Amino acid sequence: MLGHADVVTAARNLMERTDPATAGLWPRATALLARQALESALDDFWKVRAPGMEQCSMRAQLLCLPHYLGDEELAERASYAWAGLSRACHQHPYELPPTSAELTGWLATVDQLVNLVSAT
Amino acid sequence: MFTHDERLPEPVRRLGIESRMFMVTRRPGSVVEVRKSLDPVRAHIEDALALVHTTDLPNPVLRRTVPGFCRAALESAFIGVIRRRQLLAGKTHGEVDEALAKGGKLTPLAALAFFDDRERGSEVMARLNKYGGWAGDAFKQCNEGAHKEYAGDLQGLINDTEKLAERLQAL
Repeated sequence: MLGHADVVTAARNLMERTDPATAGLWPRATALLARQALESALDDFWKVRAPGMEQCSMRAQLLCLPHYLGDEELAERASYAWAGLSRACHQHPYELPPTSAELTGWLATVDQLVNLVSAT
Repeated sequence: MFTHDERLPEPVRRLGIESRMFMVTRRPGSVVEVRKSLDPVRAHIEDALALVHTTDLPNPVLRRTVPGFCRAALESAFIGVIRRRQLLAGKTHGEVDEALAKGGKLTPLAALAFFDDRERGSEVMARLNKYGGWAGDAFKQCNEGAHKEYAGDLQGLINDTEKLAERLQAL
């Protein structure tokens, strides 16, 4: 079983390592991994800080996050990253996959969140 | 023609116009890759197969990504059904796009495709199981597997997803 940080690393490798086998599919694969790292890190966070919250919808969890995380700015960025990643994970008509710049930004936020949560 | 607008390929495919399409993606550092573009259902299935058979990604990474591609294949199949049916029923492209935007995720999309009503999500599983238990299972595993490491048989999930997508496209 991969730890949250391993999942973030795997996501980053998929995007950055040029490999014809992952051409075209890396944006969705990266987004799926990044979102899973974010969701599972939050899951662990709530189990320690506010047990039961992990059962709530992600929307509710992200709304409450600024009050619990101790870093409002990061909590807001996490919320933004989750929304972007979630859109990228689902199929929408007429929508292009996220760009590498968008994914890089979201991954940086997920990375920070994972680090903060592992330290709590 | 070079375009960022997905509204061009969709009608070309839907109307069966002879064409060759390529998709261009850019990795960090402007590494550009070009590949042949397939219809979205086929493309997601091919991506899932490529992950399992042609990449050297570690198994846990495959287990965390393949179900998400299978889910995207099902979402694309539902979107195709909804669009075709609503256009045939005389709705405008704008109205169809609005219905799809509200449709959102997998279960409401399925309800819209099966019952023309996105609120009937609770009946989706029973409808899927009319195809056989495998169909409901595949749907559920695609949805859950997009959020965590999937423990089941990946090739089996891809096969069932493909089979289900074919049934859906015949709706």
